[in-house]
Formats: sequence, structure tokens, C-alpha cells
Amino acid sequence: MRLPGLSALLGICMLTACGGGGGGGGSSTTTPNPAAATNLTAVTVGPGPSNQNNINMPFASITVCQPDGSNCVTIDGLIVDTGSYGIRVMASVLATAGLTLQNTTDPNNSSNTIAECIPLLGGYTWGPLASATIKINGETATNIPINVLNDNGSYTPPVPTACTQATSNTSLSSVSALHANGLLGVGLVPYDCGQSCAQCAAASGGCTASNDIYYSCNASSGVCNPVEVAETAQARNPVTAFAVDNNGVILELPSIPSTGSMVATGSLIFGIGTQSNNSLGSAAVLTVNEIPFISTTFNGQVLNMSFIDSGSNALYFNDSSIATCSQAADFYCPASPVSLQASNQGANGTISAVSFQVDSLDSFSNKNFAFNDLAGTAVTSSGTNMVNNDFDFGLPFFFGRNVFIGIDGANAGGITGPYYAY
Amino acid sequence: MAINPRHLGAALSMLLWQAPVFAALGGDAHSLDADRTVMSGQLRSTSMQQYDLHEITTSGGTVIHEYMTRQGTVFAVTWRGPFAPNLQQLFGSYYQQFQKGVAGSAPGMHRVMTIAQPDFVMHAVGLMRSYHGSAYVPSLVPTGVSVGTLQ
Repeated sequence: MRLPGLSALLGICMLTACGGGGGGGGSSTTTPNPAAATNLTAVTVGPGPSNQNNINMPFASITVCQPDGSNCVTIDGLIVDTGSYGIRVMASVLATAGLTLQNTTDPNNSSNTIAECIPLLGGYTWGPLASATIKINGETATNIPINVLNDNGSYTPPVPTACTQATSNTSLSSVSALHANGLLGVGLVPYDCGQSCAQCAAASGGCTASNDIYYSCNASSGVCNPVEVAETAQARNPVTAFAVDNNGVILELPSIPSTGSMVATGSLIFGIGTQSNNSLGSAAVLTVNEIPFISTTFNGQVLNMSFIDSGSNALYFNDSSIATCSQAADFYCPASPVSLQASNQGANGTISAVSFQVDSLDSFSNKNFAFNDLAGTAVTSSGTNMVNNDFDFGLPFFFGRNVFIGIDGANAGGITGPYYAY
Repeated sequence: MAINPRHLGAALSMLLWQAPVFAALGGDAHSLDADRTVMSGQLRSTSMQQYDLHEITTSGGTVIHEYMTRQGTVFAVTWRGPFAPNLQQLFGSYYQQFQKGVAGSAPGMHRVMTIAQPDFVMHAVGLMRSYHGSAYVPSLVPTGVSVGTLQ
């Protein structure tokens, strides 16, 4: 992405004041919250842990303790992810921090432990469940299940092939593959699988990779079999386990210039309508019909499987009129910035227009890690187009907005989740 | 959209027959049964004007559509539901092209992925508890079928 125009871009950046801060594209910060507020934590869009050079990934730190609240350590470099549910931390990162959590025993087989495999498009994650008490500033989730990702061989049974076959068979269970120390999943629901994993034994064929993501694993034999795990024993969206401020979150990221920002610093605020710093105000509330989807109208097409996701590093949508990049076909590289508009509609009928800009990946300074105009392709423009039902409002959407996530079933500011609001 | 009894009969007989594992995308009718078995699914088949549509509903509620030419070759697949399907099974001999496409895309976590290999095209969304996508083999698509209409 380094280009001849780099110094020129930096020149423009300095002329137009990219925000405070030093070199590169400068940095941007949201308005500070009241000093007394403890229902929030800082979020930094930057390169991430171990200089992973992430673009548009929001990171935060949490405190992880033994279930009884002892031996607390700080774990940084977790992706603040409104598109997943629950805490996932690399085993090596916990080990380096000096915390050893006990793997969760299968309640029906004391010689086995419970592990979890999450199929994702870039690969899978694998590792045991463990109980921990999580503290984030003033909030505490006492004794909740989290998922320890086995990046250091500390967990013996290998990942079941039934799970890896749902992916490209690539492991994302490492800092270098995930480009993060883990995930802070604070999305729309409390549990990371839900009823199916809790009731799969009664299904035709029992628990399988088709209806379950949990396994009961034996360290001696190395065998893992799909197993039922009650919802409350599944990896838990930590927000839903807080004593207060547990009905949702707000991710607040500052406005940044279209040329990008070296870093951007904002806040993850806990609770909606529970404190002076988290009221819905005049935000447009879009309830979700089928989790996690809303309907987006774009270029005259209705895309009814659209979503808002801080774990996506770009806006992903199909527009075959915009050129894709020659070196990174995943992304758009228009000859000059393109201004576009979409319209989002919630299940409750709320309609909200969204204006956004797409600029060329090739024009971005490689000194910056935050961009509000990075966009990627959703459907190939070559040959016959496939059905396209989705618009992914990734991190660029969050800059300059306060995005509310109202959790499923919770009364969040007078409106029952699941919803997005902004 | 009428269900052709001939295909229903074929589907029912396949339910009772443990076929050897064949590829799905690019594969033949045998692969359907392999898919159904691997993914603990129920199979329902419908004869359309230009192709046969085979629908597998897995025990977890994910619905898989396999589009088969009149000559009996699966040229496209789609999926949608709360659990990711077994893509190695579903993509069959095209799984390696899928792997190549993943390897060639940006590193790290993806929620949306689009792959355009020479003879394998895929678009998918993968979120926890919600997966959907479609894939097809351009050279196998029957003349006159618009891939954009296959849900």
C-alpha cells in the first residue's frame, strides 16, 4: 500500500489538520466522558498487539481473574467485536500474563473437558471453555464462561475435523493469524450458540457439527465428541453478566478525516439508558428481525441480510461500477473518491439514511491505521453475479457515530433488543 | 414449482442407501446423499424448468440448496442458517479452490468473503450463529440459467 503519493498525502493531512497527535495521519479522540463514569473503557483503532499492522480494528483491554476474583491480570489487544458474543483469549497471552485458568469439566463426564470450535470464513478457532471473573473498569462479570484459544498446545485434544471442514481448515487460534490477542464479543445476544447447543441431543442424529459447536474432550484418548452445553454454560457476552449496565453497549469512535488517521481513540460504554452517559437520545433505533440482520436499500436493491459490525474492517457491499484494486481484489480502488448513499430499515419500520464515501486503498498512507472510507467487494463483478443480500457496515461506519447495540430480550433505554441504533 | 413425484421417490430411496462419499459441487446424485449423511439432514427434491433443486435441511436448521443440471451434475450450492455447513463436503473437488481463495484474501477474521477462482465463485457471510452464502462453477452452469436467481 506504500505509494509515491505518500508524502503529498501527508502534506494535505497536515494542512487540513487531521486532529491532535504527532506524525503520520494524526490521531482523533472522542469527547471525554464525565470523569466519574466507570461504565466504559477506552477503545483504540490502531495497529493492534505485537505490531500486527491491523487496519480498522478496534482494540480494548480487560481484566481477567480467577472465578473468585483473585489473581487478576490485564489482557490487552482484544478486538471490540459487535459481531460476536463472548470473550476469547489466546492461551499464550494468558500464560504470559501469569494467569492459569482451569478448563471447564464436562458436568456429565468428570474426566472430560468442554471445548469449542467456531467456524469463521477465514478459518476456525479452537480451545477449551474456562470460568473467569472479568472486570472492565467499574463493571464486573463474576464467574462467567470464556473461551481460551489453544495457540500454544496447552490444550491436548486436536480440533475435530467436523469443525475444520466447515472452514478452509485454517486455524485462527493464534495472535499472528487473528492479528489480535482475542475477541471481546459484545454483540446482540448473551450466549455464543444458544438453544441448539443446549438441546442438540434430542435432535435427529444427536449432537453433531450441524447443530452444535461444543465438544466433550478426553485428554488421554484425544477424542472429542459433540455435546450439549446449557446456554448459561456457553461462552458469555460479558455485558449481560454485569450487575448493572447490562442491557447493551455503545461504541463511540471519533470523526476522522477522509485521508485517514494514524490512530483513533474512543469508548466502549456499557448500558443503554442506565447512566448519564448512555442515553439513546435521538438515535434512530432499528430493531432486528432475524439476528443480526436489518434491511438495507442500496443502488435500488433491497439487501435484507445487512448488518453493522465493528469486527469488519471495511464496508463490504456490491457495486460493480466501482473498480476493485489490482493488488487486493477484496477491496475497491476507485480512481477518485466516490460518495454513496444507502438506506437502512429496521424490523420496527424505522428508516435511516446513511451517506458514506469510498476511496482507493491504493491512496491510503501506510502510516495510518484508521480509515472511514475503506470498502470491500461483496460479490465478484466478473462473470455472472450471484444473489447478493448483504451490506456489511464495518468499522468505517462507526467513525463519527455512537452506535448502540441493544441486547436480545433486554429493555435497553425503553426499547426491547435486539436492535442497532445510531 | 411443483414437486415431481419421480424425484421424491428417488430422494426417498436415497435416504435408505449409504452411498460412498462423492463430491457435491461438481458431483452427481450420489454426492447429495453423502451431503445429507454428513450434515445430518433431510432431503427434499424439486424439479424446476432448467434444473433440479435439492434441498437439505440440517438438524441445526441450516438449509442447503444444491442445483443440479439435467445431466445430473451439481453446478451451484447455497446455504443459510445458524450453523456453518460442512464446506469440504459441499464444495467437493472445488474445496481446494476455496482454500486457495481464502489463502489469497486479506489475513485475519472475515465476516464477508468473496472468492473468484478460475472455475469456482463464492460469496459468503459468516457470523456466529448466522451463516449464508452461495458458490457455483461457471463452466457447469446450464445455458440460460442466471446464477443471480438461485437463492
